[in-house]
Amino acid sequence: MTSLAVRALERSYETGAAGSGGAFALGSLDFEVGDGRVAALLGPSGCGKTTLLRLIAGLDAPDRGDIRLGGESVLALPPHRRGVGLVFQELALFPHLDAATNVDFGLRMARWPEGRRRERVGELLGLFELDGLGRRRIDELSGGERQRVALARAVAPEPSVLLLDEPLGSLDEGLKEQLRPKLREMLGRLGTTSLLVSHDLRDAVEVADDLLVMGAGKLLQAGPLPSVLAGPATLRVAEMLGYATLVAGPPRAAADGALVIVEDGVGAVDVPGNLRGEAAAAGSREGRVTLRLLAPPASLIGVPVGSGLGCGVVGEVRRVLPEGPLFRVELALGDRSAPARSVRVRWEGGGRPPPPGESLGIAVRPEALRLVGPAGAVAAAAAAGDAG
Amino acid sequence: MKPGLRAGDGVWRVGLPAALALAVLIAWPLAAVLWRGVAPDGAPSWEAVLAVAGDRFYWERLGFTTAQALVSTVLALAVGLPGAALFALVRFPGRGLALALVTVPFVLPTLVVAVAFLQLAGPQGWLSDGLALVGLPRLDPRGTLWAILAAHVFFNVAIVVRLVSGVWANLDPRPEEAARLLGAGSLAVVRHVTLPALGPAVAAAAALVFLFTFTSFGVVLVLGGPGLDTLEVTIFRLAVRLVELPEAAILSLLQIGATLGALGAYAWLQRRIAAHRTQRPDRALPLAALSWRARSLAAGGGLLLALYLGAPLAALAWGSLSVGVDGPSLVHFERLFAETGRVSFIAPGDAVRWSLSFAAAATALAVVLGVTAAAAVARTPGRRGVLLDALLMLPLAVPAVVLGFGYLTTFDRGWYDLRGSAWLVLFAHTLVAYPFVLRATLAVRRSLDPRLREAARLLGAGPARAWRYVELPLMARGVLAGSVFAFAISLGEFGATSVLRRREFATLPIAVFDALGRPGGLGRALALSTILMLVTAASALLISRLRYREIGEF
Repeated sequence: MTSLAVRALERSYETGAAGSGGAFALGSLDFEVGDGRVAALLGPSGCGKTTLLRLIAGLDAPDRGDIRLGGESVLALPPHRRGVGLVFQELALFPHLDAATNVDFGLRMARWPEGRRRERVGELLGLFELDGLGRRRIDELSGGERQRVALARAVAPEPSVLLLDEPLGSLDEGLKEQLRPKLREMLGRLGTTSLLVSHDLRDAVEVADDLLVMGAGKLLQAGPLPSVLAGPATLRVAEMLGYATLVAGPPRAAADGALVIVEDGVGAVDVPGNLRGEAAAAGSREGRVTLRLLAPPASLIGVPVGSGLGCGVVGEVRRVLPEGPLFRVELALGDRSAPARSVRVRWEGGGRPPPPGESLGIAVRPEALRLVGPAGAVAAAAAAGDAG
Repeated sequence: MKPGLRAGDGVWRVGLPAALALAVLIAWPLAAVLWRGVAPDGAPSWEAVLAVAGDRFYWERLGFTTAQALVSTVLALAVGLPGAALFALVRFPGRGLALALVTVPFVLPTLVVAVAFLQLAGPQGWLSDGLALVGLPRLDPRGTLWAILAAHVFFNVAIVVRLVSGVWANLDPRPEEAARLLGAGSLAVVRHVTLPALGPAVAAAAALVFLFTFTSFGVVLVLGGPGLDTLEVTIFRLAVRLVELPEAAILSLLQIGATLGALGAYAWLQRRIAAHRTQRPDRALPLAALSWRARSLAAGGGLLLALYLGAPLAALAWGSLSVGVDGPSLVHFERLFAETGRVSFIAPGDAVRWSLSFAAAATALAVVLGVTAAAAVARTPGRRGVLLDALLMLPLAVPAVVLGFGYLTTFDRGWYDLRGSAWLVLFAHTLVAYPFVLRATLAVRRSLDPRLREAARLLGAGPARAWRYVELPLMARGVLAGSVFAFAISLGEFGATSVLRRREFATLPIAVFDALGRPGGLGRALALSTILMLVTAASALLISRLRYREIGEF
């Protein structure tokens, strides 16, 4: 097996030939996916994810930079000699062949002996739970079955690296829910170095070992999934990971040596002890600066106003969203007529949460808070990693 | 070179053989003829150009050619669009066969159609009989404009029906449903949603009909008369008197310019259709789901179309069977074969044999040429692709008779002296036929998802194997459809063959024309035309019934 390394990769804007998808300029990209790891590349639509996969697969050529598989540059190799498997977003199954012959295609091209081919196809149909469907035509398969045939076809010739372009993108929400753990399990069993591309954080969270966050052709942050999720490096990454801004405003010193960040109409929140040094430094350095306190999506809890449990931010209930047996409440923060933003909090109070129009406080454990300085960099909290 | 699969990848590798073949088979002969036009005495002179520009006769020919082509186009649309609606929107029993039958007139040899109209509307024809019954004078279609127009529409209805109904049947019905929900009535939906979506297809069909009627030869040669010659017929008449070759060359240039314009428009429109194409299931409704009014409208329209397309052919077949008032007999056919031994007539058995041989060989060559040309066009992006497409369709623009004369003046010395050889006929047929393979192949190729080729590449197939195992099987249906057209076109080719003909390898259309020109030859012409019609229709229907799955599997 093989690691995948991308070094100083650049590709300028191209309107894109038919089928190349929305191409985008890729800045200088550098990252590595370790041997046998499953990495997820997260980024909004049109940020250059598909272009990157096409470059790695050899379907497009970069302007500069290098792509290495197992330490060897593959830039000079045409796509059919790179040993890279790709599951297309639209699957691109061969409509004139049945499921088994689709899976067999790569083996045929690699001139595997007849007997081993049949064996391998049977084995893969079994692994991907497609037994008995081998003779079906592609248009006789369901969405989930097609998706698995595409996966089986891509891994059949034992590629050294597997690329997956929005592998669940063509499926409906219910099927996605079902298939995410299954995809995780299958990739784990294959043990192939894999790079999965998605705009949906849930795909990444449930399937990957490593997380790469991308925006507008640039890599914003990379690392093992838990550490990236818990420690976003910038405000932008934090927002892509679903972090909510609790308050944004100038820091003020409080009586007992504490530091408070105040936002008009929203509230005031104490800066936790481990972040005070950072906040004070930023405040004194630049006078009136704006600092932000962020919290990960699952850490905010709605509490009654005046209960003494709140962190100092109060919002107006806008919507109550049932979530299984519990509730999630959307709060508008700031001025009633022109709210600054909305956040979603969990309701754990039992019974029904207050109806729209009423006020609700927000509680959050201090360790869950992240401080964003004026430049947008997120301060590393001492207790990072225990979020959510 | 960068290894990426850019759109322009390998254009020259696949395009070069086709380009070479086209250069030798068309560019060179064409240049030779045109050179004779502008430089009759070896040095360029404006003499012929001025002679043509200063002569009102030629201006009238150009005006007539354009006017009749425009009128023919409008009429073909008027007849063809309702037909397209019928095939696109109504699912009736035998629809596939009916569509194949509607296509038959298009592939019929022009001479056969001319003879058929002569028979239907002639003084002794059914139409005249009908008019005589109600006390009106009998018709004579010879030398009349309406006969030419009727024959042109007869030919080209198939283009409109096939092209437009193909797009219409796959048109996404949801925008129409949305418009209806937004308060648009049936007519408003058609006007504001359906027609704009069909626009490129209708325009493409119109461009093609204009092209074919502008260059009409056989029909006009037989049905036309004084003042009713198209440019192509004028070129033929000038060129048979070899001294006026320079004028013929200038007129050819004129015609090539006009037809290239139509071809360019067609190529551009085709790209737009491909851009809007969705692979949606057939949206046609079964007859039972239609209202009583819609059903009777469909039935009435279908019947009229069938009558228009069927009557001339029925008249032709009936005419070949009738002698005087004694009822049907095979006398014409018997005579055909009985008089075979006489020198003055072309042996029908030989003509059938030569026609089929030329058609088979020309189709094989046309498939090779058309498929490679389609690959080159599909891989050339943007405007250059449109230009290349139009250029490769050049054989459609070049008057066939000019092509014939080009061959005679080019392949005339040394080891390539092919005058009087059957090779020249084969080359001419290949060139005239291959654009149909190119069109059909390109149509399916454009609807091919480029990711399929990429998927094959990533699964270890080199460019050649990706083409062989993925692209070719998926294109097979289009290639097959194109080759049917090529075969039929070769069977009916008349313009170039009439210049290159030799008695030893005369084809069926030549035999028909030969018989028409002899006193008392009409019966013979009718019999030969019927044979030609049957051979053409049979081969078209036979091959159109093949399904691609059977040959698409590997």
